[in-house]
Amino acid sequence: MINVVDLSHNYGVRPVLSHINFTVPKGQLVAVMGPNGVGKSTLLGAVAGTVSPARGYVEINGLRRRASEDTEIQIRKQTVFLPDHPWLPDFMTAREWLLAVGQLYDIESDHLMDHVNRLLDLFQLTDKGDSPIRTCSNGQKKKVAICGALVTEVPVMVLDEPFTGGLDPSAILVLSRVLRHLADQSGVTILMASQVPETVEQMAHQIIVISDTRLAAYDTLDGLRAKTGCKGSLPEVFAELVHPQTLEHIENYFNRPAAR
Amino acid sequence: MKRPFPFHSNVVWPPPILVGAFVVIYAAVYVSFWLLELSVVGKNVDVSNMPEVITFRAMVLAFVAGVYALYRLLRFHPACNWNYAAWLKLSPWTADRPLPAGPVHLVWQDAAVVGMLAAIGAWNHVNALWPVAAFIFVYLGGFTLLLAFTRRWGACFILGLLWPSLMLPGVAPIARQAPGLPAIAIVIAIACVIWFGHRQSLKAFPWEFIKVPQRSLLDAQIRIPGPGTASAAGTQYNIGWPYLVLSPKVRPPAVSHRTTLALGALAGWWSFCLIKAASTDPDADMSVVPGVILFFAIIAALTRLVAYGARTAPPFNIWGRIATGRIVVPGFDRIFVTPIAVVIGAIIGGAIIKHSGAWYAVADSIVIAVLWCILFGGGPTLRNWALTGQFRLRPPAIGGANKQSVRQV
Repeated sequence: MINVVDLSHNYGVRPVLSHINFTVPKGQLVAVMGPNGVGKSTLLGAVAGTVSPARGYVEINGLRRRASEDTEIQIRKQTVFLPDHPWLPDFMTAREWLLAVGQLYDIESDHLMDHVNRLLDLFQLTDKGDSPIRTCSNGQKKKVAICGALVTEVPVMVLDEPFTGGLDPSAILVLSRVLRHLADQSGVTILMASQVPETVEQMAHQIIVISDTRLAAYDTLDGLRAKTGCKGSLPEVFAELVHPQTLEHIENYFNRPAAR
Repeated sequence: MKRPFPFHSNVVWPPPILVGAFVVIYAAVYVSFWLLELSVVGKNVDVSNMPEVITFRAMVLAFVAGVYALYRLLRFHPACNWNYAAWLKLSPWTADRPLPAGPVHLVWQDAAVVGMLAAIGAWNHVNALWPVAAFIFVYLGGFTLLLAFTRRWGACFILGLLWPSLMLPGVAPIARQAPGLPAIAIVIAIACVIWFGHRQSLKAFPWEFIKVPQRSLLDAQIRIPGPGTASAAGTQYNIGWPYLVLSPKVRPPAVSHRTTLALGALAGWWSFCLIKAASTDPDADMSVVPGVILFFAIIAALTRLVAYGARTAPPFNIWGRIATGRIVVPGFDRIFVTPIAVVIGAIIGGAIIKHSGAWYAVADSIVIAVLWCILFGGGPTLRNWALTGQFRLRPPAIGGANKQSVRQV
């Protein structure tokens, strides 16, 4: 379970997040959406532990982040964070790196090696698994980073834009199915930022919409539709929530006579 | 097979290549001076007996004795050879038996080798003490480092008190005189502590903190230079961002209060001995000491700040502090407390030292011990900071991590 309480943050003078409150129950996959630069990565960073919020706090499975050494260690054992731009040691092979990450989380050796093999197969990295990471393409590196998050087998996953970064369609399909399966079958709690509405629509149990530094909505897709009165797809519902004038702007763009 | 008598071993003789190298070098030196003597016009100049030449020969002999002492440690101590340690771990060897590859402790062959070097020196008008002293100091000094490496901290602490005592007035040999009884007594005390520390370290074998090959199933089957083995060896290993900084296995250990006090006491004692040793020099200017302490205090404070601040940033910048009225962010600003305390302590300590008169050396050592304790004992510990600090973690691109080893996806 992830519990965000009255979280506010500002890097400088401008507030990035203001009084954000929400709870992600165990076994739920929640997507965070919002306009560019609205603070999604900051929010996920605060949940993951890379950003210490100016106000408010985050609890993971009832333990408050950075409250004490012991609780923070417990949280770290239960949480993995995939940032939008992870950095991988490019002198290691993908297999070596995945095994090293698994060792960090004390995964049993035999099981770990088997899991790494299955992950490399799943993301079609078998051929590249024993080559240095520097020889991988950007999409392959993104896949390796995703495998790094999956290999930890932790109960709480925080994923920042997992579907961007050059993933091919089959990898997107695989990842969306795997994440949904982990949430539904294994009780893994997943908080994920994504700007790919089709994927979010398909896999998220609930959606958080952040707009103008505040939490604009937190509900299921049907709940968001009811709230906005918009019966359309997620992009339309999202536009109604965040930029109600979007459709009007499109109309204006095409109907306004061009200046000569 | 039982050894015929203690302190006997057939394996410790220096290897032929070491002996050959010594013969070639010393013969070359000898022949060079002989040729120089022949080439000097007048024939009556005795180059071999010139003080500079004698000193040069003494240095060559001391160097060779030191190399032999290093050979004795590096070749026969299990801590210097991990494959040997790994094999020893699997063997039925126990600490009450002799080390199978040969003894690290001194045997009669050592006396023969060093005695031969001393005899060569005496034959060439060199003080025979040079090679003997060089051997003893390199051997005991190297052994002290090995005790630290094998984590015999009790013995190391006593040795840390004994070694600088050799600098004290009345103990240190003056000019070219032979060392007096106090110096000999201290060297004997050092040897005794090393002996007991060495026995303890062998009893503690196998040393789990030393990485030995094929330690785990993963190590055995594939090459994994990962954190499992690296953390066991206490090494830093870059596994990429954010795994390194959000790792559940936080590496920086907290320095205990006992260790802090012990290090502070050692630092104070070393500075006391250094000041006392320097005070025997009539040209020494002791008024610079407070300035030197302040200089090193500032360097230490900055080093601590860099160590704590690496890859971290305040949660919000100075404009954010002003805008929100939170000028002080206790969760972050606490890293400044200890460095500032160290610098202020150095300024106050410097004033105390200046007015301490005859108690100059004592005041200096107390100030240094206190500063040391503040530096290492002042909160937060690096571990506490990494786990509970209110900061923003910076990715390698702006955090200054090794860009050659990690790459952005």
